[in-house]
Amino acid sequence: MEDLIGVINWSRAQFALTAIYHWLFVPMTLGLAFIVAIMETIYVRKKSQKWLQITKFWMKLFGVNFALGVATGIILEFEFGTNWSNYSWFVGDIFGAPLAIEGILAFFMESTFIAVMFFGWNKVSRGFHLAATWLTAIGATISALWILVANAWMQKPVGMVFDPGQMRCVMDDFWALVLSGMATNKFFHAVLDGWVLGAIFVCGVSAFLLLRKGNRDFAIRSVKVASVVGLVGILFTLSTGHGSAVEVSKAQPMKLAAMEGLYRGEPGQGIVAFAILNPEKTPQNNAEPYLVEFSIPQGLSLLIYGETGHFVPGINNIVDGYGLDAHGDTVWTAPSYAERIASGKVAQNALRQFGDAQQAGNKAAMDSLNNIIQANYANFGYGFYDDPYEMVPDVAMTFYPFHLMVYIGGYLLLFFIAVTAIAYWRKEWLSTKWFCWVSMLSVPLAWVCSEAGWCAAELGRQPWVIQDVMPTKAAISFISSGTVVTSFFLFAAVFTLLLAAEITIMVRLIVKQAKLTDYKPENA
Amino acid sequence: MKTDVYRKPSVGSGIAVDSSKKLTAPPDAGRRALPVRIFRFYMDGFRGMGKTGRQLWLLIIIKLIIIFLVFKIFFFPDILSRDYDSDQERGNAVRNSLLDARRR
Repeated sequence: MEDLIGVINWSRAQFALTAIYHWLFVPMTLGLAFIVAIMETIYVRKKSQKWLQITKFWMKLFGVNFALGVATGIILEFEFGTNWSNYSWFVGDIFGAPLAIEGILAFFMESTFIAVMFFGWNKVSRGFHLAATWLTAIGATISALWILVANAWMQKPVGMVFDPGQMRCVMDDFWALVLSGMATNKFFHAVLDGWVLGAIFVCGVSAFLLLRKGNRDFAIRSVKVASVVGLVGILFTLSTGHGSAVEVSKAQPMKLAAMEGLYRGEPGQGIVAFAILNPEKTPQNNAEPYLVEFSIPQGLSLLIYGETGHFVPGINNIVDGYGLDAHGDTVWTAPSYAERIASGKVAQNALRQFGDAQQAGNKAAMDSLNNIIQANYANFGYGFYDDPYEMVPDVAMTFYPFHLMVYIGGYLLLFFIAVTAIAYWRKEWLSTKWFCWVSMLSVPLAWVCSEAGWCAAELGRQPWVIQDVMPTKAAISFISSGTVVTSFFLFAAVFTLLLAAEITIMVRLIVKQAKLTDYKPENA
Repeated sequence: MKTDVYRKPSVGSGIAVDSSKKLTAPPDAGRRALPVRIFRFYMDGFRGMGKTGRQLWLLIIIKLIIIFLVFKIFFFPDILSRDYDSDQERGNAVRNSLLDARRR
């Protein structure tokens, strides 16, 4: 048992490490690809050598990021097959279709047109080259679509039925899978976050060029494009973030409660603007949840349900299956965790007997047991537990990353409003020292924001790898933790080297650009 | 295909192509079969790569070797494919593993 816990913890750590490193590269690819495509479009429309040079410089940085990031995600698939073999088998069809589409369509499309982007400058027409650049950006986005659809399905498993004969989920409604509110919000939230990240990278690097003074016009033109992309991106990221929270309230109310550090909800629930959690607080004691708290009254009810008086369930309400108002009247009910545990155990017992009936070839028994399994399938995962409180996620690990994401997201909105206004109406301010430093120091914040969002989403849904159906401890393979530990440190070393290589090459290219003086005016 | 669209030398050209090397398609390019033209396109692209492009390709190749020849072979076997011969056996193995008492 001890080794199983070791395998679970190390496998989770390894997956987190791989996903976090992979996500350092991906949003930059998504964002920079669109920015480069817009810059090249301006070049093609204006036939300006200035815009050609601008496009080529940012395309070069895009290429460095793409080259070093490509295939880092494939390791996640390796981990599924080795560390998470139960999960991998169980979800086979659900993941198989989207990932196959990703592999065949998006990856090859992206790779083909990237070759035209970099090798085709002197060989194909302007229009064809521009089309290749746009198709690279679209291909990268389509790649992201399929993996995000798969992730959204884990948070809200729709469009599938469980086949106990095969012991895996079988897709019965592809469009329900692709178009679920969870999937669409997650897709736009993550992709537009990439736009924000790409835009702030361009602003930060341009600020560095402005500080070096040699590339003023080059940098200002770059900022003009990036600021608009960043502003559009952050506005839609905030909007889809709200949409995601509404979806979470429906499919994962426990995650929403953990994101807010909310133990007992009430009608007209406030939203936490700032708080420090009480480390002594657990769902089983009556300690105060916060050491310091500043909330906006009725804010959470209004944001999630559109009504100031709506009840929002907290952690204890969800475990107990009911919520009370100030008068002690019941205002919210749902199946309690104890009931769901009992239902899950019924499903698991039926599944055990189904295996015996299958071995004996007893079709009538299999049909009857399948009916029991399907009737209780929504609670299947709860059958792995006896104590309801084991299914409460780590509140601090969800609350703080979520609030960090919100704070930085709010800052980025202000930043892009300011930088857009300045770039179009007060562009001389762009070159001021303080503004350049603010822009440069804002660059890492976009990555912190993006990674914090993922941490909130993934840690908040614990203990589930598939919401309500499969907990992490059931998804894991019975393997030795020693192998996982070794590969964890190998990954850490390889990814750190890759990141160091990316930063080194990028810095070299940026410094080289900074040493150049502005292009000579030609036909701009 | 046009071969003369970007004649002006530029600062900071693409990663893959060294701007100092003129890369223009040979005059008979249009008459060649499509696969040959695609092959030549890539060949010329790789030949004309600048220093950064070469470094990146080296990194990509090293990375792919590590991922596919070290990680995949030595650390990440597909356990169910390795240990069982049929889907039925794999399904049974997953059922037994899922319902194993050690998971409770």
